[in-house]
Amino acid sequence: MIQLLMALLGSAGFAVMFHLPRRLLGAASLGGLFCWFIYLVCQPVMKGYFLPSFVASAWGAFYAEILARVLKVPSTPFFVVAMIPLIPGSTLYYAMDQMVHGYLSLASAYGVQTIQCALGIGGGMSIAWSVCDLSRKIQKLKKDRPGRS
Amino acid sequence: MNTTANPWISSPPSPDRDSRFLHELLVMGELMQSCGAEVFRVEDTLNRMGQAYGVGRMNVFVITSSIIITMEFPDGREVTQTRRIREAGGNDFTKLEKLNALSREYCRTPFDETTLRRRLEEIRRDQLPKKTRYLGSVLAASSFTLFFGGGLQDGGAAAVFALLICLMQDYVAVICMNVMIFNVVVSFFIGTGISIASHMIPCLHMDMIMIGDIMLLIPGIAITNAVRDVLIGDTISGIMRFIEAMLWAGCLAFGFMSAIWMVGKLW
Repeated sequence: MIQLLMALLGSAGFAVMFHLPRRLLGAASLGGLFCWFIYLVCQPVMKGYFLPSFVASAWGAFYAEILARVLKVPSTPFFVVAMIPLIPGSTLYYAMDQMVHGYLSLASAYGVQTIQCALGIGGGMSIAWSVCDLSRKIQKLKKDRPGRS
Repeated sequence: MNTTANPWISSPPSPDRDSRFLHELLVMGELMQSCGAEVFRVEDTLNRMGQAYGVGRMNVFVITSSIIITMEFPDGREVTQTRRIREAGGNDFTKLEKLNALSREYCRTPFDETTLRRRLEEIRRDQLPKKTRYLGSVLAASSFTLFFGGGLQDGGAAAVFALLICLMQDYVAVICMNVMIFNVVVSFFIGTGISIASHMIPCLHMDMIMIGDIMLLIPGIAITNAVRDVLIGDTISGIMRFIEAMLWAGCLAFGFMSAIWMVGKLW
């Protein structure tokens, strides 16, 4: 519960830092909360770190695309802010920490975890993005067809 | 806004006008990149604006460090300009939104280059106030400290160090050779500060505070954007950004590690 609230506030902090227009602040930070919620729900069901990040970030990207269409603004601000709670900051830190103390195998395990998360986030985003692109093109085709002879 | 007449009618296309328009396109592209737009978005926007201007075929090639545009006109003329981009962009979504609105407006009813230049200049000048950015960083760092399981006292400490990070971003970054050096400096300095503070005040958790403040510095957005760039086909930009971001992350890790190590030895 606290985590969710903090995901919301943290995303809001980044949103302020990234100079989001004020009217978009709330919607964007809610994206962060939802993303983390999805991650939490997925984590016990799916093993590992890749899949939950993947699903959560795909969801975040869809959320961003939908908001962008509704509000007629670029989708970038929404998904950048929504992804922030998913960023594997803690595993990166633990990887470093273990390395300082000389536990190389633990360090590389955390390192791999970090990379898995990053790949998951990137993959989820691009899947969502390509689905949206597809839908846009199909819509365009539909619109163009009656015009053609 | 104040487009009095369609420039097509008021002034016919001429080589001089074309190159001035192209110049403004480059300014636009650079601005977009510097406020966090993705490569495909920049290419798409510039393409659309070129089409609206009346170019037959737009050849826009954008990577993170350069923009190349060749406009081919229906009458066979070609105009090319390039721009080298040195600065790594930050994120400023108010600007991005305004640029987006500007391009939409231009595509509906094109206006002349002088107006375009003035509007771009207006958008460029609109900077995020320092105080707001500080507030955002403090909020972000302390909430992520709590997010990862720190206590309230940790959140407070993270806020203090977040403020320090912001100050360093403003005053130290300008004298550093590049972002990598700055990352080493800032992470070493902040890491030392946090280690010493948590040694002196036992109720602070060093790891939680560090994680919270790392969130401010970590190029997480750059890395995820890079992965996505590669996956959607902007391979060169993606790889450039990825390597850059990895180097930054490595520098951060190096700075924090040496700080922890040093304080651990000295204490």
